[in-house]
Amino acid sequence: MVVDLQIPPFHEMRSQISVLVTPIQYLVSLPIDFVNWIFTDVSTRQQLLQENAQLKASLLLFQAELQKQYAIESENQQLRTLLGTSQKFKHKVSAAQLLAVVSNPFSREVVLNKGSMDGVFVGQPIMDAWGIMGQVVQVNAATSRVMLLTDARSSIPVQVKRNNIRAIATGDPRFDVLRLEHILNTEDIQKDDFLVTSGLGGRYPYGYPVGEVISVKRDSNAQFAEVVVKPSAHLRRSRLVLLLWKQEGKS
Amino acid sequence: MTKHVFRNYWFIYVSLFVALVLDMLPLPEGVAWIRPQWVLLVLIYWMIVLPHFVGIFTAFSMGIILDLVEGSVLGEHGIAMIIIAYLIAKWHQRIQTFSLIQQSLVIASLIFIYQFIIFVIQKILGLPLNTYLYWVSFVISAVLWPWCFILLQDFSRRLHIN
Repeated sequence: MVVDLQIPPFHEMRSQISVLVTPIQYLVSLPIDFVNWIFTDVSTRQQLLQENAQLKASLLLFQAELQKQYAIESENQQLRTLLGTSQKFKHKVSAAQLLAVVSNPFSREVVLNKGSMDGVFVGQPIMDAWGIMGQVVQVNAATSRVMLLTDARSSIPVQVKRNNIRAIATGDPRFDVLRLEHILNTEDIQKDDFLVTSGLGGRYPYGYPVGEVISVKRDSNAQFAEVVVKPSAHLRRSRLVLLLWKQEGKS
Repeated sequence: MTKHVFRNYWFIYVSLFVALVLDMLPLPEGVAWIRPQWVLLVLIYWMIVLPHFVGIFTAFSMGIILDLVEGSVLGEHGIAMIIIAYLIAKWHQRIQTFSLIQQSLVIASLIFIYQFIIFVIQKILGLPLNTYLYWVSFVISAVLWPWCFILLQDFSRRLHIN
């Protein structure tokens, strides 16, 4: 145990031994995937047509939004060049699936069906359609282990979207929420404030949604305010997730 | 004796594998804590019935596999398993003579020790417990012991493992 905790080269060995249990993990995941597969396969033509129409409509909507984004992005770029700074990174994404296996009840972790063979690396940010989910903590050949934001060991640098106040959000697995650390009583953070990643620390990219403040408790006797944040990613429900890669962009 | 060398010992590994799969199957949030310690239950059965064949080494290997599967620190379940295996190796003759209910009580205390060791290790690692429901597991395991015992005994009789 001490070896595992203290000696980094051992992690390499560990991920190699973990290959042994990979087939078991896939096997356990199989029946659940099978049931899902049946549900998707046994849908009627009518349903499919309906869903297709819906998806097309939403795609149109998103594309319209995206065009607006392009304009904003180029405008942003021009302003940045005027200011003399440049946005350094673009992000490449790739989809992955969660394996339906549980892990240690003490931690909030999930297993992905992609590993070092697909270029996954330790510290890589993971998100779903609604926001940041967590980061990769262990990579094996064909699977990897993701620590969710609500794990007790997880912290993420965030900022309030409304006024750019920066903070650190730490996981609280007891209630499946995040808590902001070291927020002074006088600081302007309110209920329903939206938090995005601040990009500080260099691990998570800038500007992705993290969560929403659901309660702020200010006690004049306590040194700091107690701010509870509900993560916007569907940590419990999402099965399809996105892996993010930093890419030196030309932009 | 030589006639019985090729007994169906593969069944031991199959049963351990099934227990491992049961341990990994995802359960709904509320029920997840009630999951009995399948691997340990099956392992205890074999350690009581075949103490010369299933012992500390098997227990340790299963512990390591559990660690890999659950992503806990390597050796955490291993060390807990070894301690349980030692206790059983010391007392298996006595446990064999107990009735099923008495056995259940012994199993309950053994699994409690196992859970306590893991609890302490997690505490040292700084990953404290979210809920007291964690401790329900050893009670459930003990309640399931008689059925587990009868089922495995039935299989071993059919396959002539003893």
